[in-house]
Amino acid sequence: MSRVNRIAAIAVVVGAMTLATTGISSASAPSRAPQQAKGGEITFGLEAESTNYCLTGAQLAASGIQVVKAVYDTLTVPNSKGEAVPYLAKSVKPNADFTVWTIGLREGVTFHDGTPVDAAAIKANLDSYYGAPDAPNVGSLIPIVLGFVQSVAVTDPLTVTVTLKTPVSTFPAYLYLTGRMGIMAPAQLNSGDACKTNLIGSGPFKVSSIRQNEATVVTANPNYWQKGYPKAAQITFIPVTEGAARTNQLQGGQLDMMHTSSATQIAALKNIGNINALTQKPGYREINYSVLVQSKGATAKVFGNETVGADARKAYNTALDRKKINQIQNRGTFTLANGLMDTKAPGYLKNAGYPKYNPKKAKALVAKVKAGNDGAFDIVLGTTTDAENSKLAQQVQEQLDKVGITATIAQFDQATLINKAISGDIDVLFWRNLHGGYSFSSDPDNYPWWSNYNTASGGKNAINFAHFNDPDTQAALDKGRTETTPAQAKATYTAYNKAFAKGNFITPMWYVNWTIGSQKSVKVALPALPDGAGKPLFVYGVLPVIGLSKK
Amino acid sequence: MELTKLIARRAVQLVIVLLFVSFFTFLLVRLLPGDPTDIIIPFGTEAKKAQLRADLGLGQPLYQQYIDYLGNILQGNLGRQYSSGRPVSELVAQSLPVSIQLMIYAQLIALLFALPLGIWAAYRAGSRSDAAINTTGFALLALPNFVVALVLSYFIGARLKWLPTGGYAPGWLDPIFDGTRSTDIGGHFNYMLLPAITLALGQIAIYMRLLRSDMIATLKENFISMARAKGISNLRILWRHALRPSSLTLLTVVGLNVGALIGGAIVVEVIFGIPGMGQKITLAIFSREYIELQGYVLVVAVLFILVNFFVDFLYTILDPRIRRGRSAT
Repeated sequence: MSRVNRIAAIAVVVGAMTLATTGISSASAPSRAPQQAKGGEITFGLEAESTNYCLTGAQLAASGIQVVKAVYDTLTVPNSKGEAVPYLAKSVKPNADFTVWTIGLREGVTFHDGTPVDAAAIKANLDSYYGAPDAPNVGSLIPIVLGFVQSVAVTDPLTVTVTLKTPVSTFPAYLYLTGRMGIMAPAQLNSGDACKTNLIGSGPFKVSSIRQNEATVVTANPNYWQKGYPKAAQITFIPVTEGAARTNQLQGGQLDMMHTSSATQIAALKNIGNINALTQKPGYREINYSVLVQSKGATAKVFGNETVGADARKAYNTALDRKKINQIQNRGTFTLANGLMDTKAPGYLKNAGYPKYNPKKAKALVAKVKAGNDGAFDIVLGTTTDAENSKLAQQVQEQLDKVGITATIAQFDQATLINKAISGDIDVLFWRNLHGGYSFSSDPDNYPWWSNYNTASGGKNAINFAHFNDPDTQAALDKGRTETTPAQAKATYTAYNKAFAKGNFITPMWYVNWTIGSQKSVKVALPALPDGAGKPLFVYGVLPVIGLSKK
Repeated sequence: MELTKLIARRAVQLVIVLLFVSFFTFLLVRLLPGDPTDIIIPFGTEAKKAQLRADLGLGQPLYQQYIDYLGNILQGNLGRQYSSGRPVSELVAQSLPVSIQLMIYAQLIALLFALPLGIWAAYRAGSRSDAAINTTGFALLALPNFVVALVLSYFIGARLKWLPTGGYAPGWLDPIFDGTRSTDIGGHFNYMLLPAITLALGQIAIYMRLLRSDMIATLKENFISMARAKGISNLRILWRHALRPSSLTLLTVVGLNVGALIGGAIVVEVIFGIPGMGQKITLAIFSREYIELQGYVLVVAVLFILVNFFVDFLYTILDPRIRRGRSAT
């Protein structure tokens, strides 16, 4: 071997060895939490990043709500029986006809900036949530949900009275609103645009640092009102948007915990040894569904067409082989949903009446729609950029194509997708939501979402993404929110569920098995709620974090 | 003297190109159909839309808007991310050093392997080792980044636990851009190694093949025969005489890659959770953050131009004939 040959060969070998040894010698991944304090430091992998934490206007999904759960408290929370019980509030009591609610507060509770959680702070929050005149940072969606609130008044330093326009027996559940209605310190609420990033709550953890798309670090609140909590010293929330990467990071030890609603990743978690997987039980699960958007007027689309809209929606629902889609999408591990609600919700029906898969019938309906719609049945499927959602959209597109429906896929981030649905720029919205969260009533999960698009006051219910008006469902919703016994609620919501299915406003797909994966060293405890209110409910993929700890 | 003139001329060209780039970036938001505020904040209140119109100067003539925009850029004001209200310059300061470091490591690893392999393959052109190197190069080229990223992440990170599969620790460059960060060099290299290798693998093949073909041509030149005749060792001929004139194409491609990787390592940054420009650009696109995106596009474009200006300048050092040729024209 000549000298050149030798040296060139040595260069190659040395280079390869340098690379290999750099990799091997590092032995193990550096810990993000080198110092172990009491209760430990936990890294939690989220499926998305949230940029706006001004809760009155934030459009938060499960990832954002998980962070909210650490930093903020809500006035009420759901317990394991599905009842909304007082939490940050000491009591939430109605008058005889459910039109005035009195919220009693706990003494000595403070926000992270040391200011008191008193009646003035709660009024300021509720004013901004429901959109009182001159309230700061009023959002565009929650005021629609709380459109029944007339006024909020401070009765004494620890008591707030909320007067409603109509009787609402389920008002305590609205004070939770799937974890979105955290109570912010006035310093955050009144900080203008900084409200989005200046997180000050009264929750078990306070924000130590936020680095967008990298990490949100929260540390234990030493003055937390629930003595002995939180258990963990620190939680670092890390957005890992790619599902497989999130699972790899948990397996590799970079993450202590993660959440996922992907069947593929849930299966992967269960196949990894040495990992705990906590899956939400049936009863109050979210459902995955498609909203059939009936935009009207100048941009009239096929689902809202006066003549053929009903047949078009029925054709869509008849064309989809949901079982096959579930098999490909979720390996058949998720349970198909046949209505809006899960098994423990009032009004749940094994079969609410949605049409069964029947391609022949679908083709006939498509032909009928085309005959009445200038020969066209073209729709836009709106979804997020997530790989799983893309896969779902492609399967739906393929099945629709087989019966003669031309579908194109449009992908957006979640907030933009919501805006597209609101503005009616898409025909189908691939979505998931909780529509039967509480055993006593399905009101807070249904009333705001599915009340008529055209409101009685002449406005628009923008979060009715399907844009429909239906007297039967509206009547049931109006009646349901005033029911005061579980039996009455069940009867009313059963009628509602049937009427909803009859309109084919959505296509129910399957229940979502939110799962939390965690290292064996992490203890996922759900401590009892204060005042003997029972155990907290793990719902919507959002885990109560006060009991988390790491050895 | 000729070098000074050359630099001055190139600097003038650079300023003109930068003005063009800034103008086209400026048009990004202004060319949105209808009222741009309806696109940027479709459900913002009228007051917020009015504020945005004022911020963008939409009521003013286009030339005035551009002058204001340019003035803001020169003062480091790239606008605000709508959803969070954070200044875009702050987001750039957080993400740009991350991408620059990743790009540097990827290029270093790529060159560390590509140079000896390319030289060896050229020197032994037609041999079995040349064929083996070429075949391996083709295989590496054929592997998409995301496949390499996921495979490395799974085997090296999740299964073997040798390196972290995701995350980031600040390196030597981060504190310079963002004073709130402190360096964690050990953690930094641990987090960056897998993504850097992922990016480097494809580059190794490209660089190696480019160098090989240029080197083969150079080795046929008269001055190489002359050097051999003088009894100069093969090693010296290859590294001192042949490499320099053979590396112009390689340098051009490295320059282009450097610019592209600053904003273009999207897949790798997403899979490995690297909070760099690629990840930020992706999120800005999907969330329709036009002002934020405008800022990133401008920064990446300016860096791309500056890097290639620098590469252009390097030509003249590597090959004095180019300097003389350009001076003469």
